[in-house]
Amino acid sequence: MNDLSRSLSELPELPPPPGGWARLSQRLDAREALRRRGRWAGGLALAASVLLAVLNLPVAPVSPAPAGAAPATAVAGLIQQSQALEQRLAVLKSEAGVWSGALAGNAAGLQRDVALLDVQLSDLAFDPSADQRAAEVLWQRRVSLLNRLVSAHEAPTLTPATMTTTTTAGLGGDTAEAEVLEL
Amino acid sequence: MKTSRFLTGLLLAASLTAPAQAKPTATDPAANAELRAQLQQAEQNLRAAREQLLKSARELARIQGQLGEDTPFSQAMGLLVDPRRAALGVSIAPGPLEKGRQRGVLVTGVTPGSGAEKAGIQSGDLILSANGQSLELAEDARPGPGLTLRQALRELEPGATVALVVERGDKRKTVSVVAQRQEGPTTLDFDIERFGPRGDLLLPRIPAEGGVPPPRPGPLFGRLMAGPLGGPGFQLARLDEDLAGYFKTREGVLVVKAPPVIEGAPALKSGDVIQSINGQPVRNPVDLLDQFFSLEPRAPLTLGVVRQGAAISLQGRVPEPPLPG
Repeated sequence: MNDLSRSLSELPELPPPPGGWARLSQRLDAREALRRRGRWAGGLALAASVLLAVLNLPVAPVSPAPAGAAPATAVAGLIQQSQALEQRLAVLKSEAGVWSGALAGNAAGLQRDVALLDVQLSDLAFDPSADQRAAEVLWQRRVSLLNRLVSAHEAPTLTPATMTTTTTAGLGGDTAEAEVLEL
Repeated sequence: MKTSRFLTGLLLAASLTAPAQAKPTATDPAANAELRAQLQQAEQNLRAAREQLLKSARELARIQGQLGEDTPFSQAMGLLVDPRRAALGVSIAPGPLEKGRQRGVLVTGVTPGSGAEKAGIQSGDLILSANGQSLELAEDARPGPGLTLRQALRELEPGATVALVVERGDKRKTVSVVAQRQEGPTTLDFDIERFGPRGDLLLPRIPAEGGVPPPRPGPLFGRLMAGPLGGPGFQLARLDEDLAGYFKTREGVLVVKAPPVIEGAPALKSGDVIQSINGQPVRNPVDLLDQFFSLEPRAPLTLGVVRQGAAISLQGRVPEPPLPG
């Protein structure tokens, strides 16, 4: 880790506030409508709403979502799940007691698949005509893959008395007994 | 929405992610020789097909990029099949609008194991510039921050470094992110779903809970993982308080069991503590194996090791994994 990345990692943790993504998404969904009313008014309103969402300030209840808005709400929820899983994964990786080449290989496959989803999500996010259901499907897969990764990292356990590595769940269902380490 | 199962066999053949696994079953030596010759010919054909596919994929991506007509599918396929393409490892979305300006791009996800993760980038961060190119632009600027960033990252090759100015909360930092390919040994198995006029999505299938097929060797993806490094014979453990005292060091990762991971140097032994790999400190077992798998076969490899309380350096090369089949 270089100095720059170390200094970044030392920044304070700022987990998104509960429901923050949903609020942010709702306000970003309003972008088109706001723009129709005028650039100035739209820009100011959106900036204000983003600020409210980020700061987690109470906001007036929003109107019921129009037909077709459900996927956006679903996407916001999935993004929130995804971020929670990323945080969990980071903790598990840093605290891993044991890890094997087989588990690492399988995890790498899942990570490669997440990378393929991420390039597609990045493309869709900047396409104003993108079908929200497409984003929903991609985020669903991302959450599922992250769940598998979390399971894989939760599974390995170390029994100090015998130095036996056992994987009971997660990737590969690999149950491998390491050679007993002569301590 | 149209869903179709990706023809795994076709992709496998095209991208050569899985080797020809056929083994001669005939006992007749002449028949064996004939099968071997057929196998060799098939492998040659696959290599030629792969080269053609890569060439076409690169050309397609280049033209689509010039036209501004990238699609999610073309992006994913490009990353999948082109060994010269790498990514930072983030999913991004438009940043907030403030005072008529678009403020960068928002990181909505960080790919596990990616360069972005290693650099400490987190979901929710705001990327404000990339390699000195500002992503804080007027609201009506074309291209906007998203396209500007994606164009800057389009030609990234593995190992390329990108300097990003990132904002988290009220703090800004500049970080260097190393682009990398994320390779996996698993059999490629995808769905394709069609949404609207922009075409298909490439959707990796989710492995069943509790089990995926064992890693398969392949000449492009995860070759090292297909070798002994990727097997159950490479076991590492974290040094807890008790083990640290016994092994006379608090830093590094304990080798429980190791295959031959380094050529031209004494082998690792159970009880060794690996403290660094090519000069980079090792933080935990997951980190160490990530670093191993990011190396190329035959690449120089130096391991800083504590053995029976004494620091030693093992210098050699990454082993060439066995040829598939």
